[in-house]
Formats: sequence, C-alpha cells, structure tokens
Amino acid sequence: MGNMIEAEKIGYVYQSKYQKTKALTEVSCSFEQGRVYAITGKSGSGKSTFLSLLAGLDVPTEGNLYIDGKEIREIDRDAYRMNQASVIYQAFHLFPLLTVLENVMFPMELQHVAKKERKERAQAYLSKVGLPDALYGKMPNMISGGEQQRVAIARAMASGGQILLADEPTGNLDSQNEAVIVELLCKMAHEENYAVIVVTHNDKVAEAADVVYGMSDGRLEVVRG
Amino acid sequence: MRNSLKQMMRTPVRTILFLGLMIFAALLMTLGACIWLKGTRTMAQYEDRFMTVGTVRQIPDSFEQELVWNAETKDYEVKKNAQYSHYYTPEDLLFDGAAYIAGPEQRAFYISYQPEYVTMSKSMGDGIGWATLFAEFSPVEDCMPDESVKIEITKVIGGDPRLEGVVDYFCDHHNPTPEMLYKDKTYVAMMGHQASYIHGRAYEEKMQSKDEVYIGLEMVPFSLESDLLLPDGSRPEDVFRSGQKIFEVTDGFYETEAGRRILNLAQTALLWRDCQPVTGTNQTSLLMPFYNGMAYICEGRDISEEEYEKGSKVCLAPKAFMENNGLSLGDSVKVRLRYTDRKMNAGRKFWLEGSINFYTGLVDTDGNPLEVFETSEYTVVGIYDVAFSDAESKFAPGADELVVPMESIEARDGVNLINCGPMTDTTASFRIPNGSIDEFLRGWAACGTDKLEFTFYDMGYSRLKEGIDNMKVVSLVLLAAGVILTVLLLFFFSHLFITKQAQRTAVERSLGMRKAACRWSMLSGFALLVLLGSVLGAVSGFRISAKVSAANAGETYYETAYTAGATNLDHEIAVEEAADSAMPAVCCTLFIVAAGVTIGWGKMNRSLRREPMQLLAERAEQ
Repeated sequence: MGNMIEAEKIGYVYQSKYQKTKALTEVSCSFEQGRVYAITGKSGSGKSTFLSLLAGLDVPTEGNLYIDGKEIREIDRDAYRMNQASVIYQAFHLFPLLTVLENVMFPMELQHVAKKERKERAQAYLSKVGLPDALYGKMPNMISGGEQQRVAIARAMASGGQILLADEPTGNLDSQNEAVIVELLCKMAHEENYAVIVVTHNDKVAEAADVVYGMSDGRLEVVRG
Repeated sequence: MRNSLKQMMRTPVRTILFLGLMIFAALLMTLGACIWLKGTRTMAQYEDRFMTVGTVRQIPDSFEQELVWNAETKDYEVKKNAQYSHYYTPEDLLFDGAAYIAGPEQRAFYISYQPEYVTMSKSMGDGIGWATLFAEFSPVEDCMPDESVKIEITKVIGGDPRLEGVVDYFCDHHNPTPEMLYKDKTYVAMMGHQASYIHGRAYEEKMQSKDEVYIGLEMVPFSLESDLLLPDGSRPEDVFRSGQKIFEVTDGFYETEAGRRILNLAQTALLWRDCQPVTGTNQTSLLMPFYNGMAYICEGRDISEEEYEKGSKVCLAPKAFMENNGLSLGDSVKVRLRYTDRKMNAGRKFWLEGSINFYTGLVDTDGNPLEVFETSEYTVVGIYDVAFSDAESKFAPGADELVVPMESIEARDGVNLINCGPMTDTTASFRIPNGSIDEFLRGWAACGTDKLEFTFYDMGYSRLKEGIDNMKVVSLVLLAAGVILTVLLLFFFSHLFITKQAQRTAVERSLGMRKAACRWSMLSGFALLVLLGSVLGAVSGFRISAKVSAANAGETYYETAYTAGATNLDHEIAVEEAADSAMPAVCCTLFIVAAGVTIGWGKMNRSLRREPMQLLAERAEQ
C-alpha cells in the first residue's frame, strides 16, 4: 500500500500585519490508508496547523506536501477537499441553520449528487455513525456534543474521500462519547480503509492509534510507529 | 441559493426585519425620486406656457406746480405736472446679464384714418357725444364770462350740428381776466363740456326756480394751439399757446390766422369718428391685454415670431371691427397712419365702449391739418375678442385697435407726433425667462438707475415654482433619507448575513466549495432579499406618489394664455402635473440592488481572501 500523503520538510509561517510566527519547521512524514495516526502535542505546538495543511486548507510556506504523489500546490485543492480529504473539528463546525440530515447531505450537494440519492446516503452515514433517526431533522444546537461530532463524521464520510482528518475530535466530549468516537474512527480506518489522522492531546485517543507522532515547537517526531 | 435562502428563512425575525426595512428605505427613495422627477417635469412641461413680463415706468424727477384759474372759486388751483430731465429709452435697459426673450420696447400707437370702415364710435350712431364744438355764438345779454353765462349757438362749424340754435351756458373758466361779451356781437371758439358745473348767478337762478333742478355742465373754450410735437417730444413755438380762445367774428375773420386755424381744427375734429388705433409691438405677449387674458385670439392665429422680425404686413384685428365691416380672417385692412401718440396706450384714448378722449389740436404750428404719413394694407391673421369685464383697466385695449408688427411701420419713430411721454407700464414692457426676476433686478441694481420702476407679471409662475421647489426639497430629503437608510441597512445586514457568517464560509470552503460557489451561496439569498425589498418598496413608493398626484390634480395655480380662447377668461386653469413615470422606481430598484450586491460582494471578498484554516482557527479560539 503506497503513501497517500507525504510531507517533505514542510514549514509554515503565520504572517499577520505586524508579526510572523513560525508554526511548523521541516516536518517530514507520510500517511497511508487503513491506519489511524495520532499527532500529539501541547497546545500551540503546531499540530492543528499541520492538520489543516494536510486538509489542503492552506499550503506550506516551505517544503513539499504530496497527495497521491502530486504536490499540493499543483492540484486543485478545492477538488481535493471535496473528494479526497475531510476534516472534523473539535468545535464540530456544523451548519447551525441546517438540520442534521441537511448537514450530511451538503458535501454531496457540492458533488451534484441527486437529491434522493444524497438523502439516502446521508441517512446511511448517519446510521453508520449510530445516530438515531429521530435526530435527523433536528438542528445541530438541539443535540449533544457527541451527537454533533458523529454528524460531523457522517458529513466527512459523505464526501466520499478516503482521508479523514480530525482536529481534537473528542475535545468537547465526555468520556463515554469520547470512546464511541475513537472506536468509530478506528473502525473507519481498519474496516473502511480510511487514512485517519487525528490531532489530539488525549492519551486514550493516542493509545488507539496505529502510529503516534509527537509535535513540539513545530517539529514532528515519531513517538510510536 | 436554496441552502442560502433556507438558512435565512430559519432566522425569520432577522430576515423579515431586513426585508421590512429594505421596503421602507426603497419606498422613501422611490417616493422622493418620483416627486422630484414629477416636479421637474411639471415645471418643464409648463415652462413654455408661463411668461414673465416686466413693465417699466419712469419715475418723475420732480413735479412742477402750475396755477390754473378756477372761475367758480375765483381762485387759482394748483395742478402738478411731472417733470423729466429726459426720457429713458428701451436701449437704456440693455445691460450685461439682461436675458430678454422679447423687448424691451416702448410702444407708440398710431391713429389711422379709416373713412371707409365702420369704427366703433361711428357704429354707435350720433348718440355718442361729440368731444368738441366749433361754433359761432352770441351771449343772450352783455356779460362777463367769468361765471356761467347764457349764450346762443348761432352756427356750428364743427361738431354736433344739432346744437345750432341751442342756448347753453358758457364760461371762460380758466381765464382770470376774461373779456366782456356783447349780445350784438358774434364770437367763435373751440369749446366743450368739461368737468365744471354751472356756477355763479346762473346757478342761483336755477336753484331758485321751481321747475328746473338740473345743474349741467357749462361750455368752456379751449386753446387753439397745435398738438404737434417735434420728433424729440419737445413742443415747438406756437402763437396760440396760452393765447386767446374767444374771437369776435368780423368780416374777413376766417381769412386771418386765427380764423383759418379754427376752420382747420374744426375740419380735423370731424375726422376722429373715422379713426382707428394701430399698435406696433414685437411680441403679442408684451401687450398687457393679451398677456393677462383680457384679450384673446378667438379665430386664426397669433402673429409669428418670423413675421414680427420681418415686419410682415399682418395684423390682429378685434372681433367687433371685423363684424362691423363684414371682414373675415385673411382679408386685408387698409391702414392710413395719420398721427403718432408716444405717451399712452390706445385704450386710454379709444375707449372700448366707443367714446374717444380725443385730441384738440391736430394741426401743425402753421395751422395746417396733419395729413396721413403712411399707407399700407395688412392681412388679418388673427381675430381677437375682449373680456369687457376689465374694460376699466388701464391696460384695456383700445376700441378697434389693430395689432401689427412694430417693424412693419416704416415711420414708427414718430411722424405727426402729437403726444409724447416717458415709458409707462402701459407702453413699455419686456419679456424675460421665467424665474429670472430676482436675477434681473440684481443686474439692474448693479448698473441701472433708480429712476425706472419695474413691475413683473409671471402668471403665477413664481408661486407654482415656489410650491414645486418646496416639494422638491421635501423629495430630496426623502431621497437622501432613503439612500442613507439603504446604505446603512445594507452595511448592517450584510455584516449579519455575510461577515458574521464567516464560519459558514470557512466550513463550506473546507468541504471543497469553490470561492465562486461560496460567493453565490452567500450572496444569492442576501441579494434576493434586497431585490424583493427594493421592488416592493419601489412599487409602494410609486403608488403613493401617484396617489399624491391624484390628490393634487385640479389644484389651480394660475395660468392664462392669450391664444387659449374664451374658456380662459377667468384667467385661471388647473395646472396638471406631469404624468407619473415608473422610471424613478426602476432606477431606485436598480440602485439598491447594485448597492446591495456591491456591498455584499465586498464583504464576501473579505471573507474569501482569508484561508479557511485561519478563519476556523479564529473561530475555535473564540
């Protein structure tokens, strides 16, 4: 199985009007399908930045990032995000004014999937993440954090990509929901052949991962491989 | 767009508030624009129908006191005569910044000798009094004519022949030192009934009489002086000025200078019933009777601008004259100009009802009758009628008065000038653009003299304009309020609907939505609301404006047009507002939508300029 994503000495600098902040320094690593990767580190260590670069939300300011062998600057990043990589966030980032079902249908709408089909598929994904039918018509703010995160995972699955990037997915959840989400992510990697990359500072999540990277001051190192 | 709308509909209070306020703002804007445009178009529509005419009056430099003897009171009466160092001319009114449309002009009127036509006074028969009597008479008894004395009219030389043999009262009223009249002598004089009643012993006798109670006017002798003036208006020397008025008829008297003058004056006195006034002007509207609607063209047309400029031989003739002479439109009228009056308007000499305040000295200083100086034929292009309700007005037209282009009179500068005076409001006028009165007066004050007094007539234009200007101010306030409110609303709600939705944009972008799609997704709902609000508001504004117009319809400002016919005799008609135009509503809608899209686009671009990673990171921190 080849590497889906390969980072080659990438770096990233946040540049505001008044200052530059180096968030990543010469990060090199690779990710492949069917495995769960955990990136741990303290707050501000650069792990979320790294995840966003992997998601194609921005491009590295130094080094190269290859997706399926192609440099990320050379590919259509919008298409990459739409079809290959999905992100779930600690704050869920669901559309507050769309129902649970509509949130999951949204990525398929971007892919111009027929309404009937996207509804069926959305329901299937929601079922797969274990969300009861009764919640499909609810607004995100009417369901619990764990449920919202499951909706976010279902929405990520709905895009049809094989890369799932999760930014502190259990950060806002209690321990019971945390276990459910971790199990769900592992299941997606091991059974659905996703490359699951989780940024976390939660030990339990890291323990469940196949590979663990540690991030410190913007530098990445293998903790367990 | 569906998702965008769906999300908007799920915040109904915000969305409805936005829609409602947009409707209100668009309504204000459209209402203001509609009213403004309507006011502007109404003024433009009526600009041609309103005319602003100014009249000029020269103020006397001083007044000279003349003492006139009054035989009744046996004392002098003071008569004030206005004195002018010189007469201003229309050329004196030409100054920088004076934008005359017509004029300025000082009109003379000409007295045309028309024996073959039936004039107004002639048509009324002999019942109309004769102005002057040239007659031989003898006193009933020897007397001093310093009071009313009886005389017997023995021979009428000129004037009403029915007076021959009549005994009447006579007084050398204005002569402090009259001469004795003897009953065995015959005298001759030009005389007439003036405004002095019988007085003295005759009056007392009448009062004592049981039968007779009528106190009539006495006959008063007139001076035989010539009325002829020099072209500059000054009076030439004349031996009969302030001279003898009563002459004893002796053998060979009519061979003397006095005798010949009396005969010649008597001859001219017979002419006046065959006379017709002719007024030359450069534009019909400069004649006040036409301007103010007292006279109006009831058949045919006005003299054209070209005809005025070229001096074409065309005229406007009064309806009564045309009917009395069996003339119709297109016929010619032969005009024989005999005298020129540069002091008055025709209406002050040829009264509308037919009587004439005529001249007494239509001879030159040698005593020879003044002859016709210009003859031509004028084609009648328009027939006018007169509203007699205003016949007493100083602006009233003269009986039988013909109106001709001033340029058509070759000797218009005053041949046989028998009356001359300064510019007055009845003889001098000009036309300026509507609404320029203040500007004119400012310009005149800067370079003119205070010896000329102007009176302006604008048919109510100032009042209409003031009303419309006020309306336009209100409309501009509404328009400005609408624009400001629209912009503020667009900024505020675009902040709510777009800027505050940055997270949504970031999530959409993280899900792979392209920037253009994101922009469309966010803007479409916003723009649709703006469009809906602006259309509803514009339609409402347009309708309210139309209702306001309907309510104002028929409101009378003031209007009169001398070509508009008899229905305008009350000088007032309704000024209809310009038709409602949907253009402001369309423009306001387009403006609001364009502003909405522009502001929304700008805000959206600010959100899109930043990478979703940054946006979401900020959100996470918040």
